Amino acid sequence: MSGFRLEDGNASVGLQTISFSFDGKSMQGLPGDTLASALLANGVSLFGRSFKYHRPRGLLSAGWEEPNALVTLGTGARAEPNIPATTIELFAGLTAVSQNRWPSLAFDAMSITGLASPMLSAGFYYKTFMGPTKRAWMWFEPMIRRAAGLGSAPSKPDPDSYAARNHFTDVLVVGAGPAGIAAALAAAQSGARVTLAEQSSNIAGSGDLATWTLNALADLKARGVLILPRTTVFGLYDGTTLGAIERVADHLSAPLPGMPRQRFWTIRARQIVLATGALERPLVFAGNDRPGVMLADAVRRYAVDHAVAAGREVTVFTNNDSAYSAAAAMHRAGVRVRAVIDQRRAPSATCVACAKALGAEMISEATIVATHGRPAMSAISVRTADGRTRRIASDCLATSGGWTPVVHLASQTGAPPTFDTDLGAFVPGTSPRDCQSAGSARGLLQTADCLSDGATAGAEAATRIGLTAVRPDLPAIALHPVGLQSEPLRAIVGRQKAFVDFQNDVTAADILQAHAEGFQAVEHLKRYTTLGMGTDQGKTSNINAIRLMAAATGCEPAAVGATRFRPPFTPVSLGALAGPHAGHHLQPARRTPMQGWHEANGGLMTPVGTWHRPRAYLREGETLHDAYIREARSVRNAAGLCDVSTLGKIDVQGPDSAQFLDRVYSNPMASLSVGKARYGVMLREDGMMFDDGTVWRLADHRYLITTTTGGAGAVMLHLESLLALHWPELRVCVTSTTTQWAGMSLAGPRARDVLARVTDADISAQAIPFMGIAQARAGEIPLTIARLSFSGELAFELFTPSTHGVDLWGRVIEAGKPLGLVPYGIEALGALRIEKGHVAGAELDGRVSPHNLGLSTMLSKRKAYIGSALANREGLLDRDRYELVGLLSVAGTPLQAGAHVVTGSAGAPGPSQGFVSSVTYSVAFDREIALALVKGGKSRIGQRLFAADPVRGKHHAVDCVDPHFLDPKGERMKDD
Amino acid sequence: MIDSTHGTLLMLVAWPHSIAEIRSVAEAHLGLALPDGPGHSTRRGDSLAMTVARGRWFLDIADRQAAETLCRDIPTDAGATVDLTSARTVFTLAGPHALEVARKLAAVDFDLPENGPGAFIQGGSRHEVGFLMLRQQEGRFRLYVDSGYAGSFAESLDLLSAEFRAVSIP
Repeated sequence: MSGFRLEDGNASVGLQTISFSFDGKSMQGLPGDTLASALLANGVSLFGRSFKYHRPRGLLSAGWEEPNALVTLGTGARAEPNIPATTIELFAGLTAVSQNRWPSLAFDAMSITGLASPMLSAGFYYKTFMGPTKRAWMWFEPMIRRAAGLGSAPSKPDPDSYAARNHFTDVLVVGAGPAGIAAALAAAQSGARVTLAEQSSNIAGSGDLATWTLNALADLKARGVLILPRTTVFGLYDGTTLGAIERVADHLSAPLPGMPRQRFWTIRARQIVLATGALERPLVFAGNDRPGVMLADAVRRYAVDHAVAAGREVTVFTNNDSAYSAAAAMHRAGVRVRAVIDQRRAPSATCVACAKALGAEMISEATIVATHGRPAMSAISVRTADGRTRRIASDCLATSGGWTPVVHLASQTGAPPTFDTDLGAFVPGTSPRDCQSAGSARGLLQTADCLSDGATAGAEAATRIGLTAVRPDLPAIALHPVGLQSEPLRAIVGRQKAFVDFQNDVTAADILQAHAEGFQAVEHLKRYTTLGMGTDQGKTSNINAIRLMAAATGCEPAAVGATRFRPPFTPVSLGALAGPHAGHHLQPARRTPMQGWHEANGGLMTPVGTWHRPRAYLREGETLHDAYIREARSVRNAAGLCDVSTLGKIDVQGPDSAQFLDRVYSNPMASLSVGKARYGVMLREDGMMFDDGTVWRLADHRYLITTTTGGAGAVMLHLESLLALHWPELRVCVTSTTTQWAGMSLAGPRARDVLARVTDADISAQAIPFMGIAQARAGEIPLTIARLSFSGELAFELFTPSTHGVDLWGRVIEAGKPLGLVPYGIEALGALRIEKGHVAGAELDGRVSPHNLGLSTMLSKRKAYIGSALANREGLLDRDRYELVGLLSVAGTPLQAGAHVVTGSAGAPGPSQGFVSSVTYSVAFDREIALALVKGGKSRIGQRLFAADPVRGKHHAVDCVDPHFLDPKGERMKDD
Repeated sequence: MIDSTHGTLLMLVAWPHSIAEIRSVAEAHLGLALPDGPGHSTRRGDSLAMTVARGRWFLDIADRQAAETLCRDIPTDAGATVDLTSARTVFTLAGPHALEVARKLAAVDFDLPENGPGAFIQGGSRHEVGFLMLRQQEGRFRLYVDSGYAGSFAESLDLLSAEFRAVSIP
């Protein structure tokens, strides 16, 4: 095979050359070239190595279906593997390298695997390399994986940006071939908003259609049709929503500043016309993977579209008429057609005349039994009708096994494709009313038919959305021969391998082996042989495999069936799927009003959901451990201030609010007095803990409820759902006010002294008793004060509109400094609450009921509430249920959250009795403590157990104690 | 895109039987007719009223005092108000490519008449951040965003609009 540039090709006239490199070798191409056409023009015949056997491979096709010519495009962070050379638009400076070879493409040492091919046949991994020991496969597998494969993903971060946008249209036409353009014209001329997506860069008809296409595109643009070249509609989803990738800058060496590399389109169309065309399918014969064996239409396209001859002596091998049209076009473009070999006994007179006009030898009722040349083809062996075999010198074999409609998107509507016996391929099934296929995508082979069919589909789409359809003017196109071979496909077997799936090295023999071993259903066939996997997803192979299996089983291909055509139609880059959600844009960050202050004052921030909270405020030379212990000690001994703005806050209003909250919380809320707050527990319907928090009664019909930070969204949804669906009769409205309020907890024995320096309001124990609420001002700052304590100390939660948050925070910090107040983070907050035995997210893990947490008294017996029906079921009350206990580290060594609580020594641990949920160093006890959920926990208080963490090799003796380590009567927080 | 000033932001809610009563009280206080169905808005001066759902309006009231008296005068057995002034940050998205940015931001068919100027759109999300969008003019949008997410949202808008500051695409 030795391709070359045709001297008188229209595309090569007066064009400047483009420099590029392949495998380090500099070459020249022309504008309009693909990498494949440019390489072909430079005489390159070897494009890659096959997946399994490392066989030398050349071009098969000229489009997205290409299974062989996969390259890695670009270098460094922009390197992208497994791109078909047939789809890469040439640009100056393009760098591409071949894949899956070592040390070079021409000499690949790994091709030795071909010698082992008898052991690597279909399903080899189920039956070979399994001995001599049971672990043999574990030993072989890494080697097999290293030997096989495609390109390597880049290890550096992707430097490019990716855009995403939504798009709505009346009619989406997928594919800008004759049928697609005709459909777009009809729909647009009928008044519809039309979008036309085409995966190739160049929307230009050729031959008879060139002028009409040019005029049609101008008409479409004038009518405001959105034409999207370089855009692949890769998937069709529910509700006529489609995903498409626009390759905005892939034809450039790098995106221009601000330009995304690719754009992900989410398209919602009222009507869809699928004019996705058809793919030529290969013939299955011995030696059909040798470089130089190509699809006939690909040879035509290289000649006509790129002025490149795929070989100097082209032989055409076909079982249908379309190859004759291709041969004629090649000939007109300057390609020498040496011979036409037709499998059929009696090709039509038109075909015979065509071959004669080309000056090509016509050989009918013949087959190719071998190809020759190393590595590229130089000759073929043909067995003629008389049984003799003759050798023909030829460096390019243009094959055609007929045409396969591209039914991928159509099948994603849910309509299974049906088999067309005449076509020898699947065609779209009966699509829903909002989707139609048109043109060759539904099996039409005449261009004139495709045009007419497209116009009909476009007009029908317009009619379906209520417009008066207009049929566009269509050109008169001469008919061309479309005779087909209708006999079952049979592989032409010889001494050489006959490949069905080029990318996955699946041969006709593999198909027959799968049949012999009982893997005859199409899904079994696929998985047993790896047929149709890989980047091309079997675009050129599936139908041949199905037909071979049908022939082997003696059934119709329809009975074998087709595998599901899942999205994406072609590979989609991960960058495009991520879109702008990359780097620190991966998820949004939610800031409290005081976050800037925390960051400026040593706050070691950590993500908590989408919030960022300070773990501790590190002073110079302090470790995190030092800092949080200092902070916790300050709270116990003086005062501390903690940002609790992240707590969920929900405004509940309405005359029925009390009744509503009574139904939502397990403990009574209707009895809560105005100006008071109460701890509350919410259950799920199954009686398990949902969330906990406080309820503040601000007025007769107005409450503020707080939730855990992590539970805020779920609680809000829960309440809205209850009101909308369960109790619409209640006059209640719930509104999330989480970010309306900045919240801070002022805690410690000096907390009241600090607060007195901030506000003139009466904050005495009489004015604001424990769980009391008051409105106040700190200067001009409005303030809501609640006597709530999570730390177990005298504490005030201060809420102010978030715009005042940082101001109030600063005032409290300054006022408290002389009294020993420090800001404290969530590590100290956790240490303080563990000392008090208060539960938090680590305990509220969705698997616990109030009975596990010692909160049984929170379950009202006097009212019904969400979860009440199941809260006291037998299993939840089991005496051996998990119960919250405290653990004291006997040796004072740190304990590990997640450790099992066991009996027995490190050498002979007993079965798990529970797990450690939260751990901390306790400033009150000067030792490591923990909360744990232990079977029959209360009955174990006083026992010595062990916290076992075999993963980290830890086994600590612990004493099981009451979970309320400190001040169990709450005297410190209830100083009144 | 600019971070915009705004008035008092209120969620005004009427119980199902008292929608007319609440409408009457609100319109008397604000001198602004409340819009009818969801997706609609009305404007008077710098004050805006947007219908979130039946009997539920989002108000952007320039006159702070009028807002305060409205909150005070809404009978609790007829409806309620919730102050969200500090809970939302308001952005204005404007310029020749504002519509293109809006198309990226929200899965909304802006070509439909019901989504034209004056339309009030909710439920759009970017980064799962909800926002309310008032299309003030053909290419001008007012966006109400949870103030906790405002920083991220601003960065996100900046990112979405980056390509429109690029040189022309060949």
